[in-house]
Amino acid sequence: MTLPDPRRAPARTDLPWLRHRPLRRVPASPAPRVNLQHPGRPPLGTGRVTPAAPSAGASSLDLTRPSAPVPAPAPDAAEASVAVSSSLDLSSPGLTSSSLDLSSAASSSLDLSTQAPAPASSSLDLSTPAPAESSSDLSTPPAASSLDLGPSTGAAATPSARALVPVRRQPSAAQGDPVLGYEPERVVVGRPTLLNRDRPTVALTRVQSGVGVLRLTMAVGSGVGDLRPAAFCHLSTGETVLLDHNRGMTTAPAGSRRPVVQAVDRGFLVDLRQVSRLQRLVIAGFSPTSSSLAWGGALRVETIGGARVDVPLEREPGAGSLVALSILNVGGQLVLRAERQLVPGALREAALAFGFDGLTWVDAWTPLG
Amino acid sequence: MPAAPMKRGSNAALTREIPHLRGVVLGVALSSSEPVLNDNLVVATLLCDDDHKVLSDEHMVFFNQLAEPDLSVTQLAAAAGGDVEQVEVDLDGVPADVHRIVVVAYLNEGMGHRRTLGQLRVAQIRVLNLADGAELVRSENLAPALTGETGLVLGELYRHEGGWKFKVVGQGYPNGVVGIAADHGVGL
Repeated sequence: MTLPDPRRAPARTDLPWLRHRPLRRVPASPAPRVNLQHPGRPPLGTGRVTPAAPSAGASSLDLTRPSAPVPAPAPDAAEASVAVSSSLDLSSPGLTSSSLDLSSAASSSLDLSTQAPAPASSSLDLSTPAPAESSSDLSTPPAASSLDLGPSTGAAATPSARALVPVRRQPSAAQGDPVLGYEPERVVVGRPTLLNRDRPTVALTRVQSGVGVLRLTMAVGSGVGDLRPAAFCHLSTGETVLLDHNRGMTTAPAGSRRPVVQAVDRGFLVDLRQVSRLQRLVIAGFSPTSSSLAWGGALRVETIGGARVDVPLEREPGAGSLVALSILNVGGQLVLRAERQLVPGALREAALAFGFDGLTWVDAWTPLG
Repeated sequence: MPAAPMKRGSNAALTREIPHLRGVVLGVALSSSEPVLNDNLVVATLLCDDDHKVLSDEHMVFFNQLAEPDLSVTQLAAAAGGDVEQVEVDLDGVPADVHRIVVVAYLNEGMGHRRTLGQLRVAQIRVLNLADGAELVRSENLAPALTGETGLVLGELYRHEGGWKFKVVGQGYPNGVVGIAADHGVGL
């Protein structure tokens, strides 16, 4: 399935609200039960083969129901279960397994049907297949690799229904980028790309994202004010780092001999040999004196081959942090997006507004090192 | 007794010598005593037409793009046997438009490190039979001839009279990956 091109999507005016919404607290009551049984099915436990009990050391998702009803757990037990388990477990609450078990013992399929799971199947099968189907029935292939969510019965397994069974798409550049889901705009040498409201995103190829360094430089005039660049960096290790060259916070990871991102005068360098360690990088401009700035100039992004992306820093004058650009690593391709978001307050507010909530702050401008 | 290492510029008719050869592993050995140099060494494989130009940017196989679109050339996530990188080539699956498979090494530059390939002690490429791992040919050590280069074409597989030959190249690039990319049509 090809996703719509985000460049042609309607403007989302609710995004600022989404960025600022508070985190929802996990309720203390037991998690709601999920009933995945099809309405037309006979009650579970009648006429079905009871799946093998999950082993204690299983590491798969178990969506099966127990062969006998188990009373709902006490709230304390449910809370304890939530506290000690970090996995998705939709199995009987009475089971103490912390496993993620999608299958019975001999199958790797997700089978909520009333049939015994097909051995050696790797499909996600939520259907109710008719018994003794012929091997040509695509709804219950013995070694299917398709996702079948249809409420198929023996009568419903018509040729037209079979034609709707999704076929695994072969990755191909001709059908759009298989990772991004659409054919992104690319950057070419000799033709600088300007990111603006009409074209806010651009994606570097895997070659551009993995060779040399990515150089980000703020080019601003003296009339802007005491503008300083800062960057928030999220690494694959889970570490979040604020980079501010003027205050000596120059490397991500902090203090590394081999940094992934390095703050330099008026900008940043990204070591693309280590691009797999970079998850997200956000570039902002701010005034260290909290002054109102006459925003102007541009943030320039350059690859080692000279391909260039320009992000204007033009806004109405004001105080706060102007988040200019975000860079997201999507399967080895760096996707650049002009944010143009002026966040009132200090750097801490800008960090929180863009999801960098892994920092501990000494004050509103200084994270705890 | 292993064959003598191949000199720079020499070639071997792989499929003529081994008619049943269906795939090869290109193993690259690079080593130095400089940790910074080792950290920034990159091996890449370029699938080129007869004019030494890559078919597209997707036809450069390296750590950030481990296979070309047809999956005939893939770089292994972890190499073995003394190689720093290994690239598997399914000779029958290589697209017909690809005439040369060029293996290069370069220093990833730009973070201010002052290193060159002249600091390498070993720079070698070898060809293994994909079926059984047997070493077919090995280049001489190309490192002693390197000085201030930051890019190096180690060797190439190329089509010849319906089969495949392997050639040791050993050509250095003072301007590193930028020069290699310019010569082979890779967009950086």
